[in-house]
Amino acid sequence: MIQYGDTMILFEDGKPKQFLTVTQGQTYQNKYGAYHHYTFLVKPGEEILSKNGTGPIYLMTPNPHLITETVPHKTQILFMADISMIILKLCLKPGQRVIESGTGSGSLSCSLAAAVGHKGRLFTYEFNKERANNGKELFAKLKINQATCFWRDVYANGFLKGEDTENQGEFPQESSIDAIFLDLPQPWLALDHSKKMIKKGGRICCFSPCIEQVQKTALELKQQGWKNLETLECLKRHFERRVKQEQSLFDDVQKKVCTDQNKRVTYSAGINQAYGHTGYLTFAQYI
Amino acid sequence: MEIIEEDTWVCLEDNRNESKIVKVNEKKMVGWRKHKFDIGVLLHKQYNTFWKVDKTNAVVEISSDQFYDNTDLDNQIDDANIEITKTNKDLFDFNDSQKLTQEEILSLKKQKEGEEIVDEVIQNSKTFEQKTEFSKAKYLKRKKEKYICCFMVLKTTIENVHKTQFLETPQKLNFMRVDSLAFFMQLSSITQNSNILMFDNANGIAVSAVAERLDGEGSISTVFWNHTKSNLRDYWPIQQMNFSEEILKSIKLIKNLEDIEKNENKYTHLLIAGEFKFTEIFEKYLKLVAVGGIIVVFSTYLEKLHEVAEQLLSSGLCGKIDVLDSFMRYHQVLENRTHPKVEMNAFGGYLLQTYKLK
Ligand SMILES: C[S@@+](CC[C@H](N)C(=O)[O-])C[C@H]1O[C@@H](n2cnc3c(N)ncnc32)[C@H](O)[C@@H]1O
Repeated sequence: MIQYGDTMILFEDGKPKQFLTVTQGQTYQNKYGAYHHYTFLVKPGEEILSKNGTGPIYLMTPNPHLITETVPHKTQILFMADISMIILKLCLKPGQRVIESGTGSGSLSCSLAAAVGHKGRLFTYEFNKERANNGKELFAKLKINQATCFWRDVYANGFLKGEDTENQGEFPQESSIDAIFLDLPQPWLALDHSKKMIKKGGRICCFSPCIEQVQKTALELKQQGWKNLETLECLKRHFERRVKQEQSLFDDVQKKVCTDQNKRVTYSAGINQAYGHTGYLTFAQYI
Repeated sequence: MEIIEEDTWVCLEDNRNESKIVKVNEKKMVGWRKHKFDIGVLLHKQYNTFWKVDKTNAVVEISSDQFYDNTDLDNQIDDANIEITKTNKDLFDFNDSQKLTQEEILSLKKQKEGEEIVDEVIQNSKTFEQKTEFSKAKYLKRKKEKYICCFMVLKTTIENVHKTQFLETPQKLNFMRVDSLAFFMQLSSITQNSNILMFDNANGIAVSAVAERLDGEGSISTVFWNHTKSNLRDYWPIQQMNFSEEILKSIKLIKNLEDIEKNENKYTHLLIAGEFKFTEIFEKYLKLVAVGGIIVVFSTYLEKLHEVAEQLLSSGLCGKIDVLDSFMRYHQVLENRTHPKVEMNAFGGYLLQTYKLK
C-alpha cells in the first residue's frame, strides 16, 4: 500500500510522467481534473480516477528504468541504452562497492545502486553543491540507503576521506572498490585517484561525448597500466506499428472499384526521432 | 585475494581476445586452440593471472608484461609511432614467400616455444624486410596470435559467459547480442523480492542474469523451451556462473505448466527471452501478473513483437508499449587512428517493454 511520504512515479496516459510525493492534504491537477492525494493510498499500479471520474492515472513503485525516464534534469543525464551497457560491462552484482562521479541528476546513480543492491554500496561524488544536495535528497526520497553522495571536487581531492568535514558518512577505503564510473568533462584527471581505489581485477568506465576526450582518456588509462581497453557507443531505436490502407495502382478510383476494398495492412516502421549520439563508453580493467 | 577452488568455472581469455569457459579440477585435460593441456594447474592460484601453454603443452605462469607483449597488438602498433603518411607508390603485391615448409613449421612447434617460432618464421620470410613498418607490425601480430598461446584467468561474469558463447554459436543464445541482454535487464528493472515468471529460450543466459541480480532474494519460476525434460544442470550459463546455493534455490524450474498457475502471489515480472509462441503465453498468463508488473519480451523478429503489442493493446490492461532495438558498435581508439571498428555485429534483436496497469 502506498503511504503518505512515499515518492512514486506518476503514469499519465499510460506513460511515466513525473515523480510524485504523496502528501496529506494535497491535490494533483492535470487536464482531466483534480485528484486528492488521499485517493492515492492504494496499491502501486492501481487505477486512480480524478474527482470527475475521468483520466485514470497510476502511481508506480520507482525502479531504475522509470527513475531515468522521470528524474528531474539538473544536468544532462545518462539514458537507458548507456546505463544498460555500463552495468553489464562493469559486471556489477549485488554486494559490490562502486564509485561514481559526477552525480549530476542521479539518473545513473539509481541504476548503479540497484545493481549492487542493499548489500552493496554506491559512493557518488559531485562538486556542485546544489547537485550534491539534490543527490542526497533523491536517495532519501527513494529510500536508496546503500548510496552516499559527497560534495567534492574529485580532480583535486579524489575519493578518500579528507579534510572536508562537511562530508558525513562512511568513505571508501583504498583498493576496496569493484567498479568506478566517471561522467566528468576531463575523466583523465581523476584516473590517478581511481587507481588508488580500485581492487585488482576491478573495472572502470568513462563516458565522454567527444572523441578527443576518449583519446585522452585512453592514452592516460594505458599509461597508468589499465588493461583490456574497449570503447563503444550504444543507442536505442524505437519502432511503431502503423496501419495502412493500401491503394492499388489498378483500382479504378473514379468508379470507386477497389480490388481489396477493406484491406488494411500493418507495418513496422522505425521512429525517426532519436538520439544520433550520446557519448562513448570506454572500459578498462585494473590488473 | 581470492583463489581458484576445485570445481569452479573460470574464464580463459587469450591473446587473440577469444575466450573459453572451463571448470577447474585436478588433472583435468582441456582442448583449446589445437593444444591439449592440464587446467588443474590453476587450482588454488589467483584470479587475474597470466598463463602460457608451452611446447610440451604444459601450462606455466607468465608475467602480465609477457602476456600483453603478445596481445592487444594493435595498440603496440600505434605506440611504435608509425608514419601515417604511407603511400602506395612503392608497394607491390607479394605472397608471403615463406622458406619454411608446413612440415618444418609443424615440427618446430614440438621443439620450440611460440616466441622462437615467430622469430624463425620472420627470419625465413623473404619479404618481411621489404614491408613498411606498419605491415611489419601487422605481420608480427598475425604470427604471434597464431603461434603463441597464452591466456588470462578471470572469474566468470554474465558478460564473459555470454561473450564466449556468442562468438561460438550465437544461435544458442537466440542471437541475443550483449546490448540486448543489457537492455533486457535494465527494462526488467529487477529489484530484490521480485517474483518473476520467465520463459527462456536463450539457454538460460537471461535467467542467469536475472538470478544474479536477484541474489537469492525473491523467486524466478522459469520455463525452458523443452520444459518437460529439462534440468537446471543442462543450462550451462547457470552452471558457469558458480551460483551459491541460495541463488540456485531461487530458480524454480517449471516442468509441468500447471505449476505456473499454482503460485500463491501474483508475478511482479513476466519476462520472455527468445522464441516462443508469445500470444499464447499472454493469453494464458497475463492475468497472473500483478498490477504494476513489468513485461519484457526479447525476440529476433520485429513482427512477432508487434503481434504481442497489438494483443496487449486490445486487452486494455497495459500502459504504453515500447518496441525497440539497439545500435551498438565498438571503436578502435589509437592516437592517430581512431574509427569505428570495421567488423561489427549489425543485428542484435528486438525488445518489447510495458507495464501492466489493470
Ligand atoms: C553530465 S553530469 C552527470 C550526469 C549523471 N551521469 C546522470 O546520469 O545524471 C556531470 C557532473 O559532473 C560534475 N563534475 C564536473 N567536474 C567535477 C569534479 N571535478 N568533481 C566532481 N564533480 C564534477 C558536474 O557538476 C556535473 O553535475
